[in-house]
Amino acid sequence: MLTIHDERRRKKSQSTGQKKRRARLVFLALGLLLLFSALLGLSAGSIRLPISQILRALLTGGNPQATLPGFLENLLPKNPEAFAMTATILFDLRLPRVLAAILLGGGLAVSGVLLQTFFANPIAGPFVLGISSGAKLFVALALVAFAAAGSVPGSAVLILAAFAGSVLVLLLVLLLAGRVRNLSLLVICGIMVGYICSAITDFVTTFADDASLVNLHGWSLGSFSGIRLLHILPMACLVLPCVLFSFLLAKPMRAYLLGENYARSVGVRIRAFRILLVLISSALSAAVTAFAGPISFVGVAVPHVVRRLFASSDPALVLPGAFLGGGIFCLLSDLLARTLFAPAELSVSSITALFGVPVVLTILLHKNSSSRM
Amino acid sequence: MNELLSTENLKSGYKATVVLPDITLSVRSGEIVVLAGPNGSGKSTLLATIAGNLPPMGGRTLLLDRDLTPRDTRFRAQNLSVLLTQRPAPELMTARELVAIGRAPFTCLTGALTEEDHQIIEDSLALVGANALADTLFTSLSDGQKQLVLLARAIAQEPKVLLLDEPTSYLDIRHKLLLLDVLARLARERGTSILLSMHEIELAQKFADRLITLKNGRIHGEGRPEDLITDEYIQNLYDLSGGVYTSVTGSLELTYTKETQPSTNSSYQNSIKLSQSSIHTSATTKEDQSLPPVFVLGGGGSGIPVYRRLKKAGIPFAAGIFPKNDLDYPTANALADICLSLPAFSLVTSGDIEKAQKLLAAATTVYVPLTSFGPANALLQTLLADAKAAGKLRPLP
Repeated sequence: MLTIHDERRRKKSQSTGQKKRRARLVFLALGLLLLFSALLGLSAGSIRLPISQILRALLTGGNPQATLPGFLENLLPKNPEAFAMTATILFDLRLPRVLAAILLGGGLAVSGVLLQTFFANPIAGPFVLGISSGAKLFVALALVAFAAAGSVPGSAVLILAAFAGSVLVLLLVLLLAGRVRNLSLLVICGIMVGYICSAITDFVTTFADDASLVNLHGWSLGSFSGIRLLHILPMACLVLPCVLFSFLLAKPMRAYLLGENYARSVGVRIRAFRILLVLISSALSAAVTAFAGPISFVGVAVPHVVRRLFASSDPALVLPGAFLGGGIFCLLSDLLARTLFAPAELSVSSITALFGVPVVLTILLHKNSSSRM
Repeated sequence: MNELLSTENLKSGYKATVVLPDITLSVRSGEIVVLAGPNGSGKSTLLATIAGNLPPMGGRTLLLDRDLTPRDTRFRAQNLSVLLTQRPAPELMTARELVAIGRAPFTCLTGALTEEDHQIIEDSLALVGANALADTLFTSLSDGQKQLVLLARAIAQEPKVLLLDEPTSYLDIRHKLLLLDVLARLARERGTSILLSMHEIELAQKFADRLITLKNGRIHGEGRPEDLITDEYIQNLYDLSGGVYTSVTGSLELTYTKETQPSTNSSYQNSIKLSQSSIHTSATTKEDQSLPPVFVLGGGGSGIPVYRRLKKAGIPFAAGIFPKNDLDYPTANALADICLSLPAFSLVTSGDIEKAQKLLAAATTVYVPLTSFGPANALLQTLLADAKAAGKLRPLP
């Protein structure tokens, strides 16, 4: 009897241990991949920047006179000519782009995880539900309104407008399909709402003057190209607290996977919890839309792949995993967008769609076949 | 304080519809109370209201003498857990991870589990006998296994009060018994109060310490199963028309009203058609057409399958002769057109035999499932001999 008990204990600790080992391994891999993609993103492009000078510039803060301590000075030798060019391109263009891709990509993926929890539906996401389109509409309204007054809105105004648009669309989708557990119906509602928003956006932009129209057009495709270093601080101030706060929701989210009634029975305050989910996911997708325009399918594809990597739906793993994964996905997509047909630049959104749509289709087809069984 | 859970004039329903106008009940420590009643009588509504999943419209719910408000989520979660009818389908979650969710009311903000929590999770899995399933994905388990794992989750919450909404529905016999056994142990060993709804009245009768019956949203009856349940009570509670419930054996006999009578084109009907047509043709030659064409000489439980088959096929029959304490009696009494019975514990007399001989003469077919004859029914052998002599004895259908 004792031996059977011991056997069971051993088996239990082993499998729990296996799970933990796997999680550690996945985090390590995602972390390394993020670092690698970031360096690649900084280095690759129409002008290739040498890694040594990039690291030197990053460590010295772009100061050509500074010397690095000890062995680093030998490891990253000074190369004044290359350094000057590297520092300029790095700080003006590539670094903001890379940081934005990490922050916004991660934010989008986390937003997707929150929305999937909220709707108990694996293909919910900011773009699929039309939330990005809502944010886009309100940003367009803000741009046009400010242009009429002869000025350009600041980031804060754009973020607020995008946030308002996100929340409004989310409420509208909730109204249409909130209680519906049907996967595809939710998507259809989202697409319809997205179309309405795009139509109104078109309508609004017809009355805008050319300058702001050009601005809006470039932006509405979804791209990290316009982002400057000065945008990074407000972006980080919005995205990072939201992401960190979402980590605190891991416990109620885990219970919510069993459904509303079971979650309530273990002490989750459902109303407050749902409101928090809506606010945080809207804030995250609003931040993304305000800075980079609508970027498609990151919120659906990344969490799905991350869950498969961990072989678990535990939000305590999936949320940070999705943040890293979203960063990697957007970094690599942005890299492809600007190098594939250089000097022409594609929108990031077309690249993310190219890789994201197959994942969404896989989920839909898989769910359909399993529900028929 | 002995009463861990009670409701006082609890009123509940959905939106504008009041389902339960006024429910007052209580459950003591270690007591198993079964809610029974027809579909739509409000059992699930009552459980959902007590569990806090449906806001009450009036009245009070007391848990450990504390008047519960909707804001008491944590207190409720730490003392009461539930097993609901809806089956969650969480993606990529193992049975152990699901059971661990039961610890949520006790863990810190991050939900990190302590060594003690882990021990409770393992113990809960062991209690329902699901250790071997712990690392299996919940969605890949069978219905019965899922239910046991969900019960383990509820147990991991270490509740004082456990609510279960039809926990045995859709389970096979093995899992039904396993689940009820675990509940009985919880009540006995941990003093958990258990309130559950159940459709299987015969199981409820054996399992419950106390029964509360609901009908049309009101408490219809309450008491120990042996006091409350009589055949008439069940007929009345469920408005039975197509069947007879026999509380002694705890079985339901289907009497088939005209509308529910199986029609002639059923596959079963075809197999018995031959014997039936022969019965009818010869029955018309008899003078006394009001007596059934079939006589079954049963007793000691031997006749029960015969009565059921004849009833299913819609063939009228007479059955006898046995005392009222005979195993055959409840079924024969419910199904036979004529049931020849004696007072309990009495012997078959020659007067009884005469009555039976009249029926035997009117019948064209005689079935004798009875195989053992003793001092109490020795006279029945004359009937057997009569049937043989008349050439009416047929092999059992």
